[in-house]
Amino acid sequence: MESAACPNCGAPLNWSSPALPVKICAACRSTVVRRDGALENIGQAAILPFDVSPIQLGTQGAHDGVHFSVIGRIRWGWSDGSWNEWLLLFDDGSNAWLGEAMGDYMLTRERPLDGLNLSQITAYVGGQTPSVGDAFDLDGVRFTATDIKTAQILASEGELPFRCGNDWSIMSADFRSTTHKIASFQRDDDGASLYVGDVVSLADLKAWNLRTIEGWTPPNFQAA
Amino acid sequence: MVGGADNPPTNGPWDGAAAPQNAPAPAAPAPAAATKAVTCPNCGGSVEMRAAGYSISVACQYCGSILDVATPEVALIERYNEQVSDLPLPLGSRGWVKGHEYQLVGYVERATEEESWDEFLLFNPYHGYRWLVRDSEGWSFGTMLTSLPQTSGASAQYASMQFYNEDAESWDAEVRRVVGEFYWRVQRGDVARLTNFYAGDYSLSCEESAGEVNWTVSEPIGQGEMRGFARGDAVAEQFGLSHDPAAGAAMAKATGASAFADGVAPAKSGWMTGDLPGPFARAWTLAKIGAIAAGLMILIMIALAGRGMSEQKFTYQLQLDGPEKTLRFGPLRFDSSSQRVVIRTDAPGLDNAWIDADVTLVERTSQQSIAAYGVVERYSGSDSDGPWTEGSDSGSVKLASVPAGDYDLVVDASAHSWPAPRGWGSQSIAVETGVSTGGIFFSNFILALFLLMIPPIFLIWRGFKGGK
Repeated sequence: MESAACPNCGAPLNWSSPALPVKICAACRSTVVRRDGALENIGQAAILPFDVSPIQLGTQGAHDGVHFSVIGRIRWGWSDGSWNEWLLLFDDGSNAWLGEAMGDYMLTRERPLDGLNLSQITAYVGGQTPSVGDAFDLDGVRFTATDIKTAQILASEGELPFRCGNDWSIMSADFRSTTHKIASFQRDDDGASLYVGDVVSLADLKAWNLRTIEGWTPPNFQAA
Repeated sequence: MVGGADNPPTNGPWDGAAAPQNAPAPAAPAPAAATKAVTCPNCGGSVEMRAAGYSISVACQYCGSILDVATPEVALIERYNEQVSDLPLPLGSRGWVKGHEYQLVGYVERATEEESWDEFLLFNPYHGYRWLVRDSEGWSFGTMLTSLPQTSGASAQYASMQFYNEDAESWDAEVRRVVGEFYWRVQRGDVARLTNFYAGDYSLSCEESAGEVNWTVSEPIGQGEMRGFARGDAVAEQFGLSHDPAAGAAMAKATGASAFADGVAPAKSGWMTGDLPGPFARAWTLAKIGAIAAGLMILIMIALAGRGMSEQKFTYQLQLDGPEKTLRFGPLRFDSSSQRVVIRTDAPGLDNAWIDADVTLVERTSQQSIAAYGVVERYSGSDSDGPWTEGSDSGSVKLASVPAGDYDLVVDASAHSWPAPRGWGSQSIAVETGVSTGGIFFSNFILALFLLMIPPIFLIWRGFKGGK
């Protein structure tokens, strides 16, 4: 684990992943960027709104037999609500996002667009706006668009793979299938990315070190 | 030294800001608050939100107005000024359905031209949302689908089950009444196109509105698969929920998990099975009986211990010298007709302070309560004999025979420093309370074992004597 002092308040900053450049100081909420060994404070991150999410930084679990920890989070907002994207760092060094919306969880990994050769996705990258019902086939699964929205970052915490200014806005399209497979296409001014993964539950992930919420007993998913 | 050698050192108010000598051991972080209160911009009522962060709209439980809570600024969407009558099941009440506990956070009455029905939105922060639906057929339990069923005309397939809508019927269903909080924008008068597919007692429903399609799978709720939610017998009976205490244990055993649950197995039955230890060949008759009796006792002991609920833990925070807090935890389900219950209170790192913790077990249906008084205290200091400590940061109370039922644990707790309040900096103390059952009186067991062994030992002694 790499450690340094926050350039703003001096509190210790610990990076769990050597690959991630951004860390939000837990003490003063400064967004600190690592560049060529130097730390730069690029401004204050917004305060996270109160929610009753059972996940917190440090929540652990496993997916496909590989252990992970939750190291970062972005809260996205759109005209009709908001949701969390938790960044998972796996023991093999890879990372994934755990989307949390309406009490459901989606674990997705970025799928490089190079060599994908899907006309539908190419059209989206080129600027076409997805519409509900659009479909494409990937890995033998038919993905159908169920939800398209424009979202902004509301707040963030922990370690992140990119800077997220508070005015950052993306177009996000969610795709579902007849299996647990899901996909999400996101596009902003700088480019586009595709995320593919599964609908999961905290029980599937055998999640532990969950957040304790007053009056509720956290389930023991490891014993299940 | 001021105050004499026998007294713990006095912490004057000026010491409050200094680094504490006995810093509390790093305890578990404080539990997050479970609710957030918003003020209804119409009637000024304080509306408790139980799914903050997920909820988008709230229908005020006092005046019926619809509020937008998607952003921190609560906005009034639709103003109503009416007395909201009592709901069939109370908002905020808790209960168990198919092996998990949920809190009732929302209520919608919906109707087609032909019939109306009640839908209750249930929430558990660790298991998400579910629906409890009551129509002319009875109660059912709904789970929103995260995958799309395969549909072809009058049939739909989900979770390798085939559902049919033979008459290809669908209806417009309208929201007639709404109270509570929801994760979508809800409004009275909202209309959705409803198509139901059936497979025996199970059904799949498809709701279409404004370009959005939502699927829900519904399963029947069997006898004993739903408990709680109601405040008293009257309500429970009215809605056909059995609260017969005699049936309690059987109901608890019958409680199965949802067929579409998120992978958590229902609580395992604690009974252990095993063969009786075989009698020893050619042993004296009394020794045989003694061995069998002892074996049976061991088995009964294992069974009783196994039946004991594994400890359920609850955590909360107390402000040192702050106001008394009243906390309610539960439900705690006790299956045996009578059991011993141990309530443990731990305050790791507690020093020169005491905690008053009055604990009361309140049975949810009968509202009968069993109260006990607990105190946890620990003091330390040093004198001419060196450092000393007195008391412990852990304590427990034991209740001998608690009848079966669903209980809430109500804790009235406060923390006090001794000998003097420690100035302005208010210190927070993490407290963990654990409730466990079982626990047999081992002393009785050993005494019984001893009495059982007297005759064979006497015979062995005689046998040895005779052999000489």
